[in-house]
Amino acid sequence: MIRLLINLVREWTGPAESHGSAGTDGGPTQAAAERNLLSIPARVLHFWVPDRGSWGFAMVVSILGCFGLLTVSGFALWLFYSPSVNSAWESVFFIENRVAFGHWIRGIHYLTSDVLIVLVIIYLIYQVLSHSYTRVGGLWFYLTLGLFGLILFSSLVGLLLPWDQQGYWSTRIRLDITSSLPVAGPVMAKILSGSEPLGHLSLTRSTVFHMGLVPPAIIFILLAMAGIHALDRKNRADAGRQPSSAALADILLRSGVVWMVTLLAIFLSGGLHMVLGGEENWGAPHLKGPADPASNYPIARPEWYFLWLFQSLKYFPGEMMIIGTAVIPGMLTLFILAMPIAGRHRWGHRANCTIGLFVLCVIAGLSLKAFLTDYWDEDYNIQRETAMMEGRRAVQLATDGIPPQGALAMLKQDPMTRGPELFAAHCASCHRYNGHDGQGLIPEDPQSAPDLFAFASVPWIEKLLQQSHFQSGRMFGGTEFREGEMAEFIEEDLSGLDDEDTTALTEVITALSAQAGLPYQTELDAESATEQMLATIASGREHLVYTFGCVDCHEFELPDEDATAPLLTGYGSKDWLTGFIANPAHPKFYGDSNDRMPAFLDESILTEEQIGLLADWIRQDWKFAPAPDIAGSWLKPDGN
Amino acid sequence: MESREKTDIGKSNGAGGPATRRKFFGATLLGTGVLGAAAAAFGGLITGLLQPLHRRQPAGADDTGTGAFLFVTRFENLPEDGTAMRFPVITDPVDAWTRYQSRSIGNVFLRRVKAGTEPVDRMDPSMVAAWNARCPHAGCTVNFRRQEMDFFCHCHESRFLADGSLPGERSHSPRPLDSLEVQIRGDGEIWIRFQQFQVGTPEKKPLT
Ligand code: FES
Repeated sequence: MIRLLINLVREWTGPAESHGSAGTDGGPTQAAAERNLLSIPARVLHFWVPDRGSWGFAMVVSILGCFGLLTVSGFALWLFYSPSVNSAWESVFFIENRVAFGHWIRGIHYLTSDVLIVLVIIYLIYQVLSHSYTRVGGLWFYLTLGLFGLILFSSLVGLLLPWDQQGYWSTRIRLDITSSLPVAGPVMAKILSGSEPLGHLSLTRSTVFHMGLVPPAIIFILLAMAGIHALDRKNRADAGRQPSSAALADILLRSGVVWMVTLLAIFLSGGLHMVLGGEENWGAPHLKGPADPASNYPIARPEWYFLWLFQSLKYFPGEMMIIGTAVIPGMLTLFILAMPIAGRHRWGHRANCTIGLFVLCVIAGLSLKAFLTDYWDEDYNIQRETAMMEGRRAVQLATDGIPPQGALAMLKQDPMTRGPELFAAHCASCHRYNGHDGQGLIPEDPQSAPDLFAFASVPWIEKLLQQSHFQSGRMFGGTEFREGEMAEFIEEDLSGLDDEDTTALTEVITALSAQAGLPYQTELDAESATEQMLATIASGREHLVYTFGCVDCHEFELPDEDATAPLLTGYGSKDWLTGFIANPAHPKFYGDSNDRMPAFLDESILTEEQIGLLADWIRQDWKFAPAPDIAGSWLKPDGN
Repeated sequence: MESREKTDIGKSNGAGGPATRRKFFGATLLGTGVLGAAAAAFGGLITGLLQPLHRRQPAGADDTGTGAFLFVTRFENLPEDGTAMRFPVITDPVDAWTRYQSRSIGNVFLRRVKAGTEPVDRMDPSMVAAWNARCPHAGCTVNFRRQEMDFFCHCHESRFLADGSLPGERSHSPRPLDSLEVQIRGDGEIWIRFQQFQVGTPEKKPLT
């Protein structure tokens, strides 16, 4: 197969190289015509290709290929991208989810840039190992370094463009470190950031750097390299070293091999994100939530190529921090710049190789350490999962159309996103949500108030009305109500019921839960309930009033000045719940017998909007809500 | 480029008539024009790039909300046991051409000091300690750990004591948490002068 390829190439380029000798297999005129036709591409190729096969040249070809891929996919993305705080995330969402092949184009763009960085690093190492870094007095090496710097810069700047949490926070921290550098640090940070705090102008600026300034600069460097290469070739040709067609075939083959490996790497790096990063699809990592400067994003990490620096900061505490941020990167840069000069001497070259290898090992070690620390850190993984869920949720909501205020505002009004935050911050020091704090963590304070998962649903009220559960820590065991009148009532009037009363109680529970109008209990909904269910509810209301006498303490339907226990009209509905959270000591609710619960609105702990979000979340009243998993919770029959 | 044109023309001047003179003027004009246009274009680009360095931003300093006293919360909302709580700082900031309505521009930690002392004087600003929630090390957000009663930053594991100071052992952070000025207005309203500071330096340098 490879033979065949070499022969093919040889055939094709043959005439240009074998002056006059081509006449053997055809007539002289035909050979001349063939020569004229074929010699142009062949000459062009011969002019550019080295006179022997070289992996270095093959890598340059692949670098060009990656650059081409990035340019083309970049233009495709640019058609849809809109740089501003309330349109950047939104437009990237649009690219990912609405543009034909958008997810693939962005994936290719993202992954190719990573692979290109690796490729250039390998090419630099190759130059050192093959001792070709002294070529043209080191100029070639320096140009490659320049290329590397530009690609790195472009990649870093490009990360901000989606304006999601990950891009925002890694940029935020990078800029902060930049501005802490001595001398030019603050000025550089200001020029790079565009505005402080980061905003519209940071995005317009990053767009210009990423799409406007860096690509021409890269082209400029590539042209300079091409020029040097051409001069070099000409000198060699003058010295009588003509490339052979066998060499050309070799070159093409190697270039082909490296390019195939590069493509494979692009493909596989997408897989790597799936295996190690928990991504669901091949492509660029899933969008995180829209950037929120006021949020807490504890999992901000730099890109993989800076992970080692991030890790090294851990070893330089306090005032020594500058060693990690400035001294080490500065020394490394100086060392790399000095390499071609030292490399002219034999011992210098050896020193370069030894030190270089050592540095590489240290960098690899630090990167691995940083990665593994996070990989094994449980807190980090939970927080990461939360961030990814937020991203998925934002995308899910966005599919319904993003309001003009932008995706951040949209997410801020989503009970499913905000509820857990608010619950964890304000409720979880006493309450629980299916055993945790709403965000999946177990709070430090022991539970001392009811678990509110599926509050006011049928299974929840069932548990409430069983003495063992009412008095357990899951419900009111940690409150004053443990020994209250309700506990007494449950013990005396609700235990040991005969069959008839048990049925009656079930009906009461159904009727009560129907008051809540929970979106996931549609079977109880007045509009969609069956005749039979409506009858059950009606009879449950009767029993509530007459059989069990709940109205002795609770107000239900009819106004009742003397009620001492919480209102049962609309129990668990949004009105009921927001009113309750606003002030549980209101006469409608607990009145004077309120235990410890603060009046969240009246004491201005939470705003009306926040209370509304919290209530919607507890009621699971949000867009695209799956039904709560009762069977998987403590509310399942016989669970505790 | 211009000068070379001049000398070239100068050489041929002896033999030249009005045609060469016209050529000379043409070349000078074109040269100046090209140079001028290039200077203007690049000047514009450079000025644009350096615009963030100008002291005066198009949106005045007040509009970003930093540096002014802002209402954060009420005194009663601070836990009595001296636990620090994080609050967003809300204002109506301007970002370039957008004015946002009540948007958070950062987070602060507030904590009751002299916890447990009676009587509680809710008008005394020294009863409340306030810090910017950003870690002075590299700018991650700090958390308060109730059990340890300290501040902890997950990024590089910096620790701060409950009063914001650095613990005895060596810390990653080059300085304590950045404290903020507190005012108490009206009936126990806590107002904070919110500022951001340069991270990563031992001295606390406010960013303007
Ligand atoms: S940013 Fe907080 S420890 Fe480094």
